[in-house]
Parts: sequence; structure tokens; C-alpha cells
Amino acid sequence: MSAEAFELELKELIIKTLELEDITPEDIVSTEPLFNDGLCLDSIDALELGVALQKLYGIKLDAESDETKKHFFSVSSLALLVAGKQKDRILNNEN
Amino acid sequence: MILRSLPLDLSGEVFPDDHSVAQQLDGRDVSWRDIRGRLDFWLKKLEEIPSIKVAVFHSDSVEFLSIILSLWHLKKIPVVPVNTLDETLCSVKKHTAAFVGEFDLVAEVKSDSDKPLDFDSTDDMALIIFTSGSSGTPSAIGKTFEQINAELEIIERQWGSVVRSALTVGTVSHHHMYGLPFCLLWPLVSGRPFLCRELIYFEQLLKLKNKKINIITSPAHLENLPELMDWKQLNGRVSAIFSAGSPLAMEAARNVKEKMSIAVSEVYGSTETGAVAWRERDAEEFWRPLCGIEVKSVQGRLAIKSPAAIKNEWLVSEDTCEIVEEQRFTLKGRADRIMKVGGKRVSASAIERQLEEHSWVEKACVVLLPQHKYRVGAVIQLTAIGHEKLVDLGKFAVQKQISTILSANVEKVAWPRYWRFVSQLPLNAQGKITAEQLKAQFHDRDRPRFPQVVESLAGETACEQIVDFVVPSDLLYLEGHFPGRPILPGVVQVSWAIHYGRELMGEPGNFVGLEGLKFQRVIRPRQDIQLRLQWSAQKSKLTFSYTSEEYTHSSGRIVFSGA
Repeated sequence: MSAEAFELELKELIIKTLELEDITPEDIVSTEPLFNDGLCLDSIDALELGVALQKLYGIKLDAESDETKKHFFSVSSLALLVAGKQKDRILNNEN
Repeated sequence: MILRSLPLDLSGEVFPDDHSVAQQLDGRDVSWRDIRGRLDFWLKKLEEIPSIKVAVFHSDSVEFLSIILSLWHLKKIPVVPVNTLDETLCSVKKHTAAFVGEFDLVAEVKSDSDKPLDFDSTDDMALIIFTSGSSGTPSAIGKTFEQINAELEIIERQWGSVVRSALTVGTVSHHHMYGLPFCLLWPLVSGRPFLCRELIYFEQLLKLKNKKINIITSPAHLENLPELMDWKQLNGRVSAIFSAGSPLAMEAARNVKEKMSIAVSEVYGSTETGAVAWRERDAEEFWRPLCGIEVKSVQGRLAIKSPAAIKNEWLVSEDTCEIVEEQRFTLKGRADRIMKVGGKRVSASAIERQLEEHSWVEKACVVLLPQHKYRVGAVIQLTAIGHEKLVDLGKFAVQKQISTILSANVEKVAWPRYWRFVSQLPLNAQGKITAEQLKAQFHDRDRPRFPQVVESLAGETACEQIVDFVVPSDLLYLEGHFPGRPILPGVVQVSWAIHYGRELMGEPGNFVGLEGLKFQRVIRPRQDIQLRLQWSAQKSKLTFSYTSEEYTHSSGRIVFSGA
């Protein structure tokens, strides 16, 4: 899957999980912040989104780690995080 | 003017027979003689009811008054519901099973139907009336004659000299503690005439031939004055105009002054306390207590001591206030509206006040939505600029822009997640906004926005898709399109085509336009429909058609800019 297609998938996931209204995946700019300006998500959203990502992609996130926070910055950074974690998991399973 | 005391002693001469008590809309007088006729009628009827408490509802003020006066004469206690909805009548039935007036149910009169009073009953108990429910469910309040007489004296002392002999007309019902004293009891005890019927439109004022009119109304009416009415005809004829029930926008008060050449006297009060304070809304920000009433701040809430209140002691209201100088205060919304969002306690009133600071927002109401993960919903009435922005920028951008005003003082989790922009906030008949009505604005979230897909298949080639579906009968987009004859809107068909075509198209770029659009036959709810999609990457066009077994309903091409 191309990076753009994966980002689109994440945008759809965000809208569906958080039950956002009045916004389509096209309205979300991949590089814009999710939490501050941009989408204006909040701490409850972060939790819900974390749970959804774990469920869907089987990845584990440490909510307290600074790295996780950094990766939750935008759709692009989130896509990189998920892709990276998935790769780790596959490698671990192969070992 | 010396007021007559309630209850009127019907055995003596209350008024001369030809005294004009009320007036019909066509100008005919209702004299005390006429009223006596009605009293005879009702006394005979009501005598037979064994219960002490009797529920009364009648939209005709003369009939309502005759029933009330008769009940008082028979030492019975009227129970006055605000309306005759099932829910309201349920709470009335807790007090009595006897109903008189315009109730749908056949007046069930059972012997021994009295239920115990919820509050200290005294011989002086005049009536039981209900609160508006703006701070929760309506509750019953018992009022004594002493309290009602005290309120009427307070009102007369404040405005008697302004109203003089004017005809009192109301756009509010007399079934609550604003309309009852102002529209009915005050004119009665002061010997001024009142209009038998509640006005529905301001235009009806033009039919009245009276020299002077005293208008009892609410923000619901004043904020929607008919622009095309010939206001000049009323010039100099309105002696006073009262507004109560909910806060009146200053802009609306100024508009009234411009049209009727008179300042609105805005009244603040409650069922428990009666009228408490007033201000001339076009020019004054601060409230002044009425003569004989004391106010102070108790932990930021307005406390009131009034001879008209249900208790002869300080009553702490649910309204937050600031006492600005001696006996002048501002109101800052209700204190009791604390919501718990994401584990944090936030004040709905505080959020509303903040939102209303924004120049695009005329009025704001927020409500917690338990069915939507306990998120906050905002119902917003926009200003003229706000409306322009909504058209220019779109809903999401406007929401985001307005939200920024919350950033300094409101926890982010309590920022409204769902927004509804309305031309008029949902008000009940008393001009109040209730939590239930606000929540109802978000019911559309529960309704489907997409069809019930039966099967989705790839077509013969990789760039084709076939979706078989049924149109749900509760589909959101069928609402109002059209009432009683729902059909699937064309714009929804185009949008569904794009939605289901997304996978085919990959990255089609931006929407450019529509080509060859044909809507041949309407699509109705519950119909089985097949959507066929074909993507031409070369032309960046998505061709769609909606067909049923018998017909092609619609077809067209959606053009994109290309990747």
C-alpha cells in the first residue's frame, strides 16, 4: 500500500473512531497537527485512537512515552509509526 | 391605585356590573356582568367536584379566570399545568385527579381524589403552579394569597403609573408565574382590561382600536419582530412592553425601541420568588431589584428576599451574579449546570458565555450528549457575520474558529464536539430552553447516512464496481425531502457514487464537475437499487448509474482533476 493510501486509511479510521462530524478524509491535511490547531483533538481522543490502532494493527503503544506523543503529532507521523511498529512485529514473529 | 386583594369576595360588590374586565380581539367588552354569568356557570359545575385540588387549563383568559375565581370561592386550590402534554399531566395527576377546562381527557372526577400536598399547606394556599424546567424537570410550587397579593403590589408600585388604563395584551400563556400575574391578575385587581386571547402574531395588535396598549411578551417574540408590519400605526400607543422568561438580546431590545418608540422593561424572576428585578434592556446592563425586594450574593449566587417569595427568608437562586453597586447586579448564567466531561467538572453556562463573546455567535447553548460518548454538543444561533462566514468557510472551519475563543478558559475535552447552527434556538412555550430540546437537535446523529448494502461486487473489469443496496426508510437525507413524500436527493446519489467509487479511483484528485447528469425516476425509501460505477483513469471520470429491476433512475459522470 502506498504511503498516501495508508494515510487515507488512517484518516478514515480517525473519523470513524472519534465519530467526527462535518469532515471528510480529504479535509484532513496529513502533515497538520492532530491535537493542537489542525483537528483540535483532545486527550480522550488520543486514548480512543490508541486503542483503535492497537486493535486494528496489533501494535502496542506506550501512552506515556515521549516518542508516542511525537508520533501522534500528525497523520503522516502516525502512519510512519504504525508502519514501523508493524514491521517490528513481523520481524519479531519471524524470529 | 389601590389594588383589590385576592381572593375576591364574590359575595360583595367587587366591580360595578358594567366595569370592563376584559376585551375580545374584535373590540367587544367583557363586563363584570358577563363574568358573573360565567362564575354562576362554573360555581355550579365545580361545586360537584369533591376534591380540594382541581387542575385547570383554559386558553381563554376569561374562562380561565372564571374557573380560578370560582375555585377560590369554593375554598378549592387550582393546580395549573403549563401545557396539556402527557408528561405534564402525569406530574399534575400526582396532585389531583380532577381536571377542568381544555383537557383532552374527559374530566375525570373521582371522589376522594386528593393527593397529599408536597409542601406545607395553609388555609391561605392560593394555587399550585409549575416551574419552567430550565434547571431540570418542572416541579410544583405552592403559592399563598399573601405572596400573590404581595407580587401584584410590587408590580403595581413599579409600573402602575406607566401602564395607567392601557389594555393588557400578552403573547405568553397565563399558565405560569410570569403570564398569570402580568397578563391576568394584575389587570384584574387594578381594574384594567385585558385581552381574552393570547396574541400569536404582533400583526394582531393592529386590529386593536385601543388608545393605549400594555404588552406582556418574551424574547421568543421580540427577537423575531415582523419587519413588514406597519409599526407606525402603533406609534405612541404602547405604554409599556415587558419581556421575561429568558435573557433578551440587547440588539433585539433596540430594534423594539426603534419600531415601537418604547424601551423594553425586562423582568427577572422565578416561580418561587415572583418578579425580582428589572432593567430597560436597550440601554441597561445592570438589573435593579423591584421596590421591597432585597438581593445579595451568596457564594456567587443571587440570593433574594421578597414578600412575594414562597419563603419569608433569603432564597439562594441557581443564577450566578455579581453585585456591582448597591442594589444593582449582573446575571451570569445558571450555576447549577455542571457537566462532567472526561472526568472534569465544567460549567455549561461558562462555556456558553465564552462562546457568546465571539462576534460570530449571537446565542449559544451547550448540552452533554450521553448517547455520543458523553461529548458536548453546541446549538448556536449565529450573528449576521457568522452566517456569512458559514457560507464562505463551511461548517467545520466556522466551528474551529469559534472554538478558539474557549482556549484560554475551557478544558479542551469540554469543547463542543458536535455543532448545530440554527436560525432560532429551540424554545418551549414559556420561551425557555430545556435540555431535552437541545439534545433533540443531535438526534440526527443516530440516523443512517448511507444505504443498507446487500452486496458489493467488483465488475467485469478492474475499474468497475457494482453495489446492491436498499434505501433505509430512516435515512437522514430523506428528512424534509419531501415531507410526506420522501425521495432520495440527487446530491446524495452523487455523493454516494463518490463514496463507493473511492477504492476504484485511487487518487482521483479534486472534484471538478458533473457531466451528463440525468435524474429520470425518483428513488424511494425501501427500494432495491443497484449502483454501477465505472472509473476511467485516463479521463479522470467516474460514470455512475442507479437502476432498479424496472428502470434506470439516474446516471451521470463525475469529473476529477486527475492525480
